[in-house]
Amino acid sequence: MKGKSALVWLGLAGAAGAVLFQTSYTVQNREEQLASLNRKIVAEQEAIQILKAEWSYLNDPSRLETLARTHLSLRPTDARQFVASADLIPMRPAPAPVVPEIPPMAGLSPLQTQGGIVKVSAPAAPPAPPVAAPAVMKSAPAAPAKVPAPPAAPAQQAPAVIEPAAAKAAPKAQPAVVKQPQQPSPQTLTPPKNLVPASVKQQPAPPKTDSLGVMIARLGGNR
Amino acid sequence: MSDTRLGYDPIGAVYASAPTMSKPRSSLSVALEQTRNRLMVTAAVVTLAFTAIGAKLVDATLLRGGAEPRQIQAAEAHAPPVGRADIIDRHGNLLATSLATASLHADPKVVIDAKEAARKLVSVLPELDYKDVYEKLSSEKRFVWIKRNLTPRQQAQVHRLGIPGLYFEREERRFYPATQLASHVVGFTGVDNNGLAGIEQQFDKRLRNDPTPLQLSIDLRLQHILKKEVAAAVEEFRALGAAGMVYDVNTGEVLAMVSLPDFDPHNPTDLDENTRFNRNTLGVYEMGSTFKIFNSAMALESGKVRLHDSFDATHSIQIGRFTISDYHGKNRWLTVPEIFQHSSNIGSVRMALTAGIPTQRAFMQKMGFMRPTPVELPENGWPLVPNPWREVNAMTISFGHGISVSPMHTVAAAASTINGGIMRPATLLKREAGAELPGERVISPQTSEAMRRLFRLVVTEGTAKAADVQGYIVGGKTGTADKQKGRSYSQNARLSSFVGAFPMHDPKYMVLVMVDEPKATAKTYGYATGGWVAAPAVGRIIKQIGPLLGVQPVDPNAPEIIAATAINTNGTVPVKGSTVASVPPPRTH
Repeated sequence: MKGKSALVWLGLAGAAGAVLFQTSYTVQNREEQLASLNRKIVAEQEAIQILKAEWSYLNDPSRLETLARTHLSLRPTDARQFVASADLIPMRPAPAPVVPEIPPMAGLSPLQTQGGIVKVSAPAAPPAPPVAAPAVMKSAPAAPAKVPAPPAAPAQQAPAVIEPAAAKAAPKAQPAVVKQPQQPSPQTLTPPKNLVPASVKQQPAPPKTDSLGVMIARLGGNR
Repeated sequence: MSDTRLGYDPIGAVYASAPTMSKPRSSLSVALEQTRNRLMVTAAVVTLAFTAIGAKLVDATLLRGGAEPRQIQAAEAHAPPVGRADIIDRHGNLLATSLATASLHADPKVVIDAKEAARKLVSVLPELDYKDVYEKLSSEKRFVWIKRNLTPRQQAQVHRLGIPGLYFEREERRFYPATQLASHVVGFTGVDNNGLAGIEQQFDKRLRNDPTPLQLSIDLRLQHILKKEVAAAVEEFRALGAAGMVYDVNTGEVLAMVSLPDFDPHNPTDLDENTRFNRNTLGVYEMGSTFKIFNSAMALESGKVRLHDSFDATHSIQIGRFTISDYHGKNRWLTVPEIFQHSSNIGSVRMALTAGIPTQRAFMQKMGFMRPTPVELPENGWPLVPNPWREVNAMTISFGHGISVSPMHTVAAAASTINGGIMRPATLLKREAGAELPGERVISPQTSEAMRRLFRLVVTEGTAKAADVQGYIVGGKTGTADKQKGRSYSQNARLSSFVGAFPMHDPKYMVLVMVDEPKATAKTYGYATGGWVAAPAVGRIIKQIGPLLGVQPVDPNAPEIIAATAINTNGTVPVKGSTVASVPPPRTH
């Protein structure tokens, strides 16, 4: 009787021991997993840190400026491109009346259109790239929106298209998609890429491969 | 029952030994007892040994006694893996960060074949010198650095060589993504990552102990524009150097600070000391005519001088060995706005003397010219102030000579004259939005408003027309100071500066450009004064930073703008339009 109960207790103790060991080994396994995960996390954090540094390095303003000048037709914003409120932006004219408007206009004012629209717009807004000129010409009869524009604009309504104030609105109205085929100025349709000065193009391209290595080489190279 | 178990249970026998005593002792029972006792002792010893082993086993396996401490916490997902905190600009762009790298060191005692090891090492790290490495590896030391801060690729290559006795150590390396752009502000660290200059030195403890990034008031975009234009001015006028700042007049934050020539913070040590010199804060200069800002504010604030008062600028003033004269003398009586507009030294002296010498000294103290600026840089110069403050000092100080202050002093003080009259301590740390701004009133709002009009007058009718920018109502004051060479002033070495602010109807930002020893060019008709050198640069800077700062452009001819910014030369404020005639081309002192 006593032997039996002792056996039972012994068995229980053995079972408890086995479970204990089993649990202990499971915990050890988990701990190893945790340690390896922690190592991975630290490695990832270091990688993130490096990538952040690289991101900032690649976002260096002077580098971005060079890239923007090389690859984009965008220019720094100018004070005259700001309007006081969105209500002042002229609405795009309805497409139907626009089409017949062109030929009579060209005929009526030969002086103003003789060199094509681009030529007229050139003296009005020299720093503005000529890209957007034709689209604006038509779309901006309501030029007084411009802040520094001369307030005398509304005098001429239909041909007002060619007046300086309208031309100044050019960059604003750029996305306007008025149909172009009637325009007598083919050169305005050329892509803006050829506007980039040659000197800009020749600037050394930023390193393309292994920028991370290049960056860390900077770190290690000098000490 | 106990009797029946006696023979079987030695342990039971111990307790049950009493009854057995009653039995007669035979040699057999004695031998049995002896054997039992021996068995018991043996069993006890064995039990003890196994218990000890078991206990140790449990300790080693279950309790992991003696093993390394267990990791019970997951690594924090957002904690930076490096020790030194980042420095970021006001929009969160990185200015300085730490990267983990590996450094290679060796234990020469463990290196078996130094010659072979050195040859292999040089093959993967070609920048190392074979002889040097060989000497290091064959030395008697137990620790030599081979190369600090390897790239991951180099580390892998060295690892693959499998040379015994070479070890890697994880190190941190400070990295400045903006390189030279903000080097004077951010500063640099040494090999062991201790700050040696700039913010890195000033906030060394903070950067070590607090892993959250330190946010500066600097705006990297403005910094770029400022540096580009200041560098262009240095190149155009073949100057020795230049300083430039963009400053928020209402909060006292420095938005950009450039000092040329500058340096690469990754490699600051083998450079000319001159490149590390921060002209904005450490350099103190006789600022010249820009001091007329403070002279005018002081005279108006004293109440003894009013805007429409006139002063005799007919003849030059003789005092001691000095003669005070005007460059472009009008040789007539000038009103206060005219003195400011034409930058008349004689008129300024008369204004200062009218206000009184003690008043002047007290005002200059209020402007912060008697102590270093509160800006958070270790490179912070003490102003050179005359002591005692005699009449001759008062006279020269009225037009910016005889007192040397840093450009930072000048900007912070000039901002206080136009922002409504509150002196804000200059800072390089971003101020929290909505936080209460420290500051003390130095002049009345009325004087400040008059100063705004005077600032604007210099740009519309005075010496700094080149600084005007369509849409951003610019105002300011030029300054051209002859530099002291030995005991006398040089006629050809100058500091040309311009302190500009915009928009003048509601001043928000101030821009300072100061060019050291500009040489006149044909384009400037032989002039190298503040109006010709610094003012156009400030104009170009404002033109570019205005849109970035979100300043609403306005029509300069709008009646409300004119009413808010214009002043007649007779000292009256016009209601509509200005009636002032134009003035000769900029030539100022």
